[in-house]
Amino acid sequence: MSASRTIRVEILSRVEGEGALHIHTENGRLEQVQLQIYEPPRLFEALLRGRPLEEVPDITARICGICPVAYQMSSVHALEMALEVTISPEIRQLRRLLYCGEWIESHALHMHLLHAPDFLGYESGIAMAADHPDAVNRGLRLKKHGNQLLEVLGGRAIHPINVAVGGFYRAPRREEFARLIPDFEWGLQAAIEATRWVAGLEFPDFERDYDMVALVHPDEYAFNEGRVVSTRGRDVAVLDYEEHYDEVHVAHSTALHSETLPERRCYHVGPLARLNLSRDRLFPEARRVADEIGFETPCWNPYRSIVARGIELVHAYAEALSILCDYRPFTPSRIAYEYREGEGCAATEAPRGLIYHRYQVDAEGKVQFAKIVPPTSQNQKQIEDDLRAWLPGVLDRPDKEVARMSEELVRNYDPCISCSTHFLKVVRHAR
Amino acid sequence: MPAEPVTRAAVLFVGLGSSHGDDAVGWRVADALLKTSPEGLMIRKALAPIDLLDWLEPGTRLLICDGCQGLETGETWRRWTWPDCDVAWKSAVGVHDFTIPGVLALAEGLGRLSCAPEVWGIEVGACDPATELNENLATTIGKVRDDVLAFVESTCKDSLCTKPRSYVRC
Repeated sequence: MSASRTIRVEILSRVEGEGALHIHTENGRLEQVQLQIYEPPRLFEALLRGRPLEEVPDITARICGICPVAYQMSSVHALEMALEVTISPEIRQLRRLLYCGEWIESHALHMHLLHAPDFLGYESGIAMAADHPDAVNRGLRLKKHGNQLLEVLGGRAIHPINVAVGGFYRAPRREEFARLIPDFEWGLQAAIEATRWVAGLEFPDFERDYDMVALVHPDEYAFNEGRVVSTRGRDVAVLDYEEHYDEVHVAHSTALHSETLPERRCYHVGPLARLNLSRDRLFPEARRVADEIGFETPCWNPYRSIVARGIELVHAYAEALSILCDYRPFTPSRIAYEYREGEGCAATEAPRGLIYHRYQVDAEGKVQFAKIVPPTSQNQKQIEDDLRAWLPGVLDRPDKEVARMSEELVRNYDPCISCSTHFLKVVRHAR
Repeated sequence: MPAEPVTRAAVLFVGLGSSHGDDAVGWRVADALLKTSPEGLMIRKALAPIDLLDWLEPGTRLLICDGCQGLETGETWRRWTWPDCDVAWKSAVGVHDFTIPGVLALAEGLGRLSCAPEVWGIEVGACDPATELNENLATTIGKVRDDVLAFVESTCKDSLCTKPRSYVRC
């Protein structure tokens, strides 16, 4: 007699992403795992065609409410390559600062309100707040700092508008940054505390032989520039990214799956990848806290990504504080350019992993082609692979528990598809 | 039993929305309020309900406006006093699932609600990327702006905010 079991986990809205999970077993054996995601970036790519290139940063920022800076940074760097624009060191520095703001906002929220409840046995951050109000308040305050930085430097926290091809429409005044410094000094210490806190959580014993991929820069913890490097030794220029990483359609999802070439294997992007590849380039404060908590790299346990986020949160605060304190207004805030036909690509590091953009522009400054590869589509195949490795060990448990544990595993990746808390709803079909 | 008076409330209005079609209604109401510059009313726009916690401090009276679907036939907008609005947004999914009810429950748990928040919902249609807000909503946006202003004028401006009793309007 055949015992067939299907655990179907469904969702949801798209604005911040849509995901569902389908698990099917036969006679207790795992037959199929499908993570189904519906992402809109394809629509945005088509939308960009024929538009003036100046609109690209503002339009791509609308792809995601959580990580607009990642889309803006990737697009402006790619377009500047196409236009042969070289930005000044001051602009470069401000772009790193903007990215710090996004990492702070995103990492603080994920650590405190989305991921920590999994390890502490709460259904949600809301439920956790009753017993851990100080931690939740800390997370919210840190998140607020990220938004404040985006507001000052990006013009507003929602879909920042100050980012331009060639630089910024306006360089902030010194006093605007100076006002942030006391909060960021507090935030640095709070981020260190938060990292110690998450380092003390208990993590499932689950390690995998990942191919972790991240941008690596020789002199700094990479945000906007570097080479695409993997823990398996691949080391390629961003220009060659598409020769080594490909997106493919899968029948069960409208999102594309990324895989390595020529092997067509999954790979892992995100904080663990960055930390495994660039630990020695962290700001000293972050390196110190990583040493203090005994965070060993390379780390192959995806559940420990919450600790990696904590270390990166410390880094983002330390670097932001350094830039805020040293800041001197400068001109020009934007490098002038002339339209030319060209093509450019760029990879940057979104909070949840590497993001790649490529554009072709014509001599009138109109976009002819756009390609956007977000981190979550790069991790999607890896998430399914993790589930396939992990599920056989827990399939003897009730559906509800399997679904909950599956959600937790997915949350390790902080997928930017309306992610985490209550990510999944279960519909069980038994035959 | 009379509610216990506390301090005079600062009033925070948060318009929730996005740039996608009718989903922008909350932002448009915020824009309309900004044009009137009402004294003492802090007006913010947010993409996600969780962001309102950036500005919500104990003692702040919170007013929210967002798009919704499923109002009764003929209704174009409605005002609730939290938690009555939970029904309207119960099945909604916000950023990271932090819906309006979820965020308000979190705010309550953290002791940041001094008064029961007022929530305005505007019935919306399509919220697709790269589309504009339906022009027919302009009248409704004006009506909601006027109702917010009237509410602020009558309830908040010269009165004391009171601690909520099971979140019945104070």
